Amino acid sequence: MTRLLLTLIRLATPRADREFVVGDTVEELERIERTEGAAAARRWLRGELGRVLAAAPRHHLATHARIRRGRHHHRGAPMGSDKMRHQFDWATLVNDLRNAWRGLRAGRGTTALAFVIFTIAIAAGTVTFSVVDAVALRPLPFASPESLVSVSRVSTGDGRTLMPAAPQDYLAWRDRGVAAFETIATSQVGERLRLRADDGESFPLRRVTSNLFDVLGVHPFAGRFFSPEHEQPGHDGVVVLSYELWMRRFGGDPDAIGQHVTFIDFRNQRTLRQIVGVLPPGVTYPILAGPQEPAVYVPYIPSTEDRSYGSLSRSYTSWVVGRLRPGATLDQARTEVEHVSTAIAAEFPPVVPPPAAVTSLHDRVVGPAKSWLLLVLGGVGLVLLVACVNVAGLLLARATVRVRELATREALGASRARLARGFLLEGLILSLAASAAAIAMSFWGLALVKAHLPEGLARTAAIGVDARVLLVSIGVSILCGLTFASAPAWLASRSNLVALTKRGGGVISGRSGSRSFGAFLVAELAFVSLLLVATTLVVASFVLVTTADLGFDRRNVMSIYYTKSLQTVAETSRSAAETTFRADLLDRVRAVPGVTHAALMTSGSLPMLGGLSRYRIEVPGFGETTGDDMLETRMVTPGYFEAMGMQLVHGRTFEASDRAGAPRVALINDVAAQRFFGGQDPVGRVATFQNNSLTIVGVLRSVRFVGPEDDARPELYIPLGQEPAYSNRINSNGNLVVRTAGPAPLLAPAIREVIRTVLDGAEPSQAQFIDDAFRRLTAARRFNAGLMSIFGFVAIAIGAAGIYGTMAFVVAQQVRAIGLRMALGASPGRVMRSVLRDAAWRVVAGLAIGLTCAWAISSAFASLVFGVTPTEPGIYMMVAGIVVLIGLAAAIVPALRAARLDPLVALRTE
Amino acid sequence: MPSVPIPGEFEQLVLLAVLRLDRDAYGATIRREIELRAERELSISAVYTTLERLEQKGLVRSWVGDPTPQRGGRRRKHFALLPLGERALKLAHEAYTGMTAGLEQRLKALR
Repeated sequence: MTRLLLTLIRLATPRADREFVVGDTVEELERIERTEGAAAARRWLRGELGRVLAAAPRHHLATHARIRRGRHHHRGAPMGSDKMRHQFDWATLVNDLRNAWRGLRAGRGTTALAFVIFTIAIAAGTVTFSVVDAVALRPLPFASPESLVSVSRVSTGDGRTLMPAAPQDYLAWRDRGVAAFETIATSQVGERLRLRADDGESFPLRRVTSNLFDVLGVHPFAGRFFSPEHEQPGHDGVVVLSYELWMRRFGGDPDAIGQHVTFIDFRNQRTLRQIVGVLPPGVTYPILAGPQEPAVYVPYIPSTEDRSYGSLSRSYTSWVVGRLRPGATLDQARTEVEHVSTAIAAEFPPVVPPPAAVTSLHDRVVGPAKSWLLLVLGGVGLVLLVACVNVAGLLLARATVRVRELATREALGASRARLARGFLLEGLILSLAASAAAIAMSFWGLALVKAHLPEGLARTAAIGVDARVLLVSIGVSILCGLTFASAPAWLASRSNLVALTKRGGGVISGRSGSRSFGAFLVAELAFVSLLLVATTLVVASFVLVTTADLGFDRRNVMSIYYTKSLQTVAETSRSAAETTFRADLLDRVRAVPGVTHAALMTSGSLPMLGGLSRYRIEVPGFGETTGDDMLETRMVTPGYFEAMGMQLVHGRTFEASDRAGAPRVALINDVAAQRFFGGQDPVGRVATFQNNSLTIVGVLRSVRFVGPEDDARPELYIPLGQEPAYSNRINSNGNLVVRTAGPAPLLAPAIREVIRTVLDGAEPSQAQFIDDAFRRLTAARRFNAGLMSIFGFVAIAIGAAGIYGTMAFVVAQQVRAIGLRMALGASPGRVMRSVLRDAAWRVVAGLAIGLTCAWAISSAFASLVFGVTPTEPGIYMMVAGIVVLIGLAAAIVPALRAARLDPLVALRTE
Repeated sequence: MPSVPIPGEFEQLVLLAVLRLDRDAYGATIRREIELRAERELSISAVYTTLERLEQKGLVRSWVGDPTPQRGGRRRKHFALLPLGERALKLAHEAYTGMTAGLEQRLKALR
């Protein structure tokens, strides 16, 4: 221990004083050991090391000044010598810079290659970081955002997606008390408003509790926020504007505050409100996915409905936010929130709210995107590492070629430190130039990425190259520049340069010399293989999601929603009129050229389009279905299954004879058959649906309703015409489902025109295409897979260049040795094999390390993959195959070159 | 004759130690002297840094002694005052005593 500490003190001391400093330290150490004991001496030495380290920079500077002035310059140093020293330093620096520039220009090819590799890596890094930072890393624009908590409900649709709570929930949590919260507030997303009736621009309305901005810790940019009296009916005619709206519509005029302004809602109702304040720039709540729209905020006054905890009429529109009490935890809040919910459910039996979810507000905003954003950031980090190692290898290779120049400079009096500094400067110049080019490139890259960002990301407006991104980008480049330049700098400071020149031009001779290059190659290939495993997992997941069996054919299908008024028809003949209308509509649509199938469907919507409609059934022997067992129910005309491309497993589908008055029939899917009838054949069995007995006539293959990544659920189909009768209907509405021979969007206008004529001119909805919805659902995976593929290809290209460069260099350095071996009888094949063997063990070593690392961290990918396990051996074998193939392909040219050497020529080269 | 540079506070302590130690002034003894008398913790590097500066200003000179057995055979670097150093020290001391004259009681009474 003592020896280590002394060595460290020695290393921290300028060379000129080392002997004396260590001598004095040993002397003092021995004295303390004698007088106070060994323990005290050790303690003292540890402290001394700290003090020496702290004083080391000044000590180095002081001795440096003397060395430059000449050793025995005792007397009469001019005052103001400080200034002179600086001028001297500048001169050295300029000189060194000039040398570095010369060095970079001399090896133009290497410099250009290093510049290109590094620019691409830094640009990719800058673009990726600016996206990840803006969306996921940056703190929210609120005070102490870490103690802000979002309380949501879990959507019953897929049991995963979070949705806002209901107003009743908010009031229950507020009134019944969640002790973990210091305060709790909410904002309701309301309708859209306009300032003028003919205004093209509308903006969202948020109804907020008067304490919302207090809870968020936001102070008004101008004016003031709401106070509790604004929550009294009749006193709520006030409004707070977002900064952006105030700037755009009121020109940022301070006099606008206090003015009364009319707002027009979608029913053309006018409300006069007084502007009381303006929010700071960029502040909004809730922070929703998609473009951030400037909003207007008005006080929220709970309706009677909202105030009755037991109300069954709940709209999940309340974005609840709480601030944790100091010391309170998320878990505590979670338990207490759940406790209140359970108590409410027990008091008001029919109410079964979906489970509550308590998350940090930041997590709620970033959502599930965070994990894949971090994956992408990790991916680009690996690309950067690969580039770094590669450039380090390139510079090292070039430095060894320059060994004669270095030896000459050393002989002329340049210190080793100065030579090493020269290389560091070269690295710095290279990295700064690359960084500038990369930043220019990243503006273009960002535009590209922003155009392809998946939906569902919040805060995308903030994505851009700003000071923070620039700082990180330039900082990382400088760090990388110094890192890769340290390889040749280390060579220059350690090697006996003169001895090296005597060996005939190169450093690399024999096995030991090429070992350092081998290490670079191994590291590079390890990073490449690690990245390739991640890329393959992400791409494989994407392919598996997009090719997953959905249970139907998603291409060329559309649905259009229509409403046919039956008001003019006598109540008794409405049913008949509806049947006629439906038949007429289908006939006309089927007559449109290009339409292959058409059908009608009521309740819910098509798969992937988001509308769910779940009903209970009763099966004798099974009992009534509840909760999770509820069936996804559609009422359809006979052509539906053909239009959707669904498959019948067993029995029959609907026929024209399954009409009103005929025996009631139904179809179920295989999941429902398994769940309610065990292994038995459900065909011919009876189930009760809304007090009607239905005979099951067939079993269908199940459909993934929610999305390609969600499990199939039980389904029930009922013939349209046998659906339960609703009294007092004045409209007949439903979805027209159409399958076309060609792309569906091309036929949509014609079909809407047909519907319009049947509806006597009334407007049907816009067509919805399942394929579009499917693309939206898989957009995040597509974006990920695209980005990771780009990273993977870049890494492979850089890696291949690295293998080629290194092997070509090693061969070039060993020309004489190879010539000698051939002169002594080695066959070209043998020489080639030996070069390939050399490359092969590095490839294998790199692969082994990379794949082991990937295996070790693979559990982090678990939430990001679909259809494969992160430790799937096939993935690893595939990556190994790719890397080996590319490794050998890149090494074959240098190997051939070695094999084709003419021994006579080779032996004559220097 | 170059003008006499005014030594800084720590430089004065080092100069005083060199003066007191006379022929026995080298790194370890100078450091011990300051630690004992001025009661301050310092590193050997700080001592050498200051001596280096004093040497460059022409206040002290140094020479390397013979190897000694008790330091693992390492040599000592000895220091002695040069005339310019003696003058500088004298000027500094005069300035200090001049300023403190008659204040001894009150300075002692300060906390």
